[in-house]
Amino acid sequence: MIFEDVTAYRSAELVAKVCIIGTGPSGMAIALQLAHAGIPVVMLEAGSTDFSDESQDFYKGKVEGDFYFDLDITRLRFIGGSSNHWAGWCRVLDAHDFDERSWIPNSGWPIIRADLEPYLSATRVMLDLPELRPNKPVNEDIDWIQLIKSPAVRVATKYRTTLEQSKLISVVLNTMVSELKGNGSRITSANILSKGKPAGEIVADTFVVCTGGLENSRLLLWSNEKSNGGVVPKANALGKYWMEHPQFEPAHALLYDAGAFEFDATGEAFFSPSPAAMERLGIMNFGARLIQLPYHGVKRLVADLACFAPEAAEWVATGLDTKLSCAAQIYCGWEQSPIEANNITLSKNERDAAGVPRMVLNWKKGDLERKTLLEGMRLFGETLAKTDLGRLRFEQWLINNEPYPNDEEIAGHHHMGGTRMGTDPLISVVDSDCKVHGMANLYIGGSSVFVTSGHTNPTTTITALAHRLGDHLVKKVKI
Amino acid sequence: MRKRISDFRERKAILVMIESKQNPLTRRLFLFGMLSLGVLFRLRSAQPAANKTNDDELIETGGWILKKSDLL
Repeated sequence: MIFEDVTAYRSAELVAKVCIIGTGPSGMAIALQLAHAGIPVVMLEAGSTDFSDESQDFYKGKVEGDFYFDLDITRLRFIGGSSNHWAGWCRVLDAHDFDERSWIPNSGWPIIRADLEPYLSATRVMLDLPELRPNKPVNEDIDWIQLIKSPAVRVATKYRTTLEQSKLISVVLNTMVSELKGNGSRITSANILSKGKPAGEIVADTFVVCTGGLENSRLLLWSNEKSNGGVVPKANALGKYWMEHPQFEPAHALLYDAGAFEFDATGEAFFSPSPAAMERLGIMNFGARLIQLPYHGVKRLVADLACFAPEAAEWVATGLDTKLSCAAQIYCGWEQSPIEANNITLSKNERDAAGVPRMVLNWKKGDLERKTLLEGMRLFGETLAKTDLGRLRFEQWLINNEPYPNDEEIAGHHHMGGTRMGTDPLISVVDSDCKVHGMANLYIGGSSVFVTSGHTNPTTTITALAHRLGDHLVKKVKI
Repeated sequence: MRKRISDFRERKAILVMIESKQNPLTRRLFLFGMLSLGVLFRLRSAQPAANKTNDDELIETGGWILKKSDLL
């Protein structure tokens, strides 16, 4: 059932075993799985059924370091969460993204990609995805990868009827958790505000925080501060090791044989480095996204190539006439190394309307990120040349070591880390079951548990991890 | 100055490219012209690119990753 506020929920006199904070893809996947197993759940949604400036205001914060999006536009605070502006790109993290890699600090998950395999089927159903195909090697350095465009499922819209008719899932709108209360081993309750006013507490056996890759850290940092460490008793890593996917347009390519590229319906094709190439070059994972340029956009590139390689330019120009060749803009989204200095802290002097300190996000791209982009594009360009699939041209800012441009995509709106998974509480917050270290009944869902980011859009991995957590909770929570 | 040169080169390239679709002789002239103009303008306007070769006889010049044979 969906309740307008906590007063309506309380009047129904329902008892929930599990309280899920947040209604995005992660919270939704867990709730549906628990309900399917007969476990009653309450989902708390801070916003309402639609966007409002008043609700978004809670997401305002400050960014220090590199240029980044305003924190209240990079996510959404109403039912369905940020799935409401999700672009729909889907791919699970690669198997090697889970590995410890000596050249990437703090890399290595406590789980492997195969641990997610049993949950990919449910993930595909939730995100309306076809069968995923494996990578195809172009050569020993570059793989042709699949990035699927989902119909950009809005989870609250897709499951609205299910939620309305469910007797086991209670969605309570306009209900913000301002603070979790814990005693160092258990969460005892959650302080809530209903429509902006204090509304007492919610009690449950188990709490799952699924408020997104930024807000998870803020809620836990604040709750932990208020309870003197009673919510995250081992909080050394809390808020830290935050990551994004930097995204820029570092190159163009002229492709000699357009037919050799499996451009999808949107005219795009995707490539990534092989694990061996990453290790050899000491770089992180990246995704080169080739977007076919329209015919008129190709001429400048051909003319530029003619300046240096007239024979090659003629080859391409001949193919253009018969549409055998084409040109592509290359977008690159790549992995960011998880470092302590990229973190979320609480503002000392700015608070939201509920009195919770606003967020300060400290975020910078470092030398390893720059090296990955430059050497990664060089690797891709050399592959195109060696295989005669085409020729790549760097943008001048990249090879001249100029600053990143501020007028491009900058990043993917992908918020990862802050409550990372691991076995060592000094550098992690949750264990391999997404349970907070030292707490018996507090779990985290979403990309804040990511240890490393890979290069790919996180929603598919988030959803698979949520199904895995749901499965764990079904076994753990007694009806 | 660099912007003006770039604009000029782009306009010239597009105009000649359109014409060159009509006959092979014009296409040859276009390519020869672009080669001459391009080298000249690159020398004047672009920052020097790192040139390097490797065992596969690839070369980086003007931001392009090319085969040495492309330059013949």
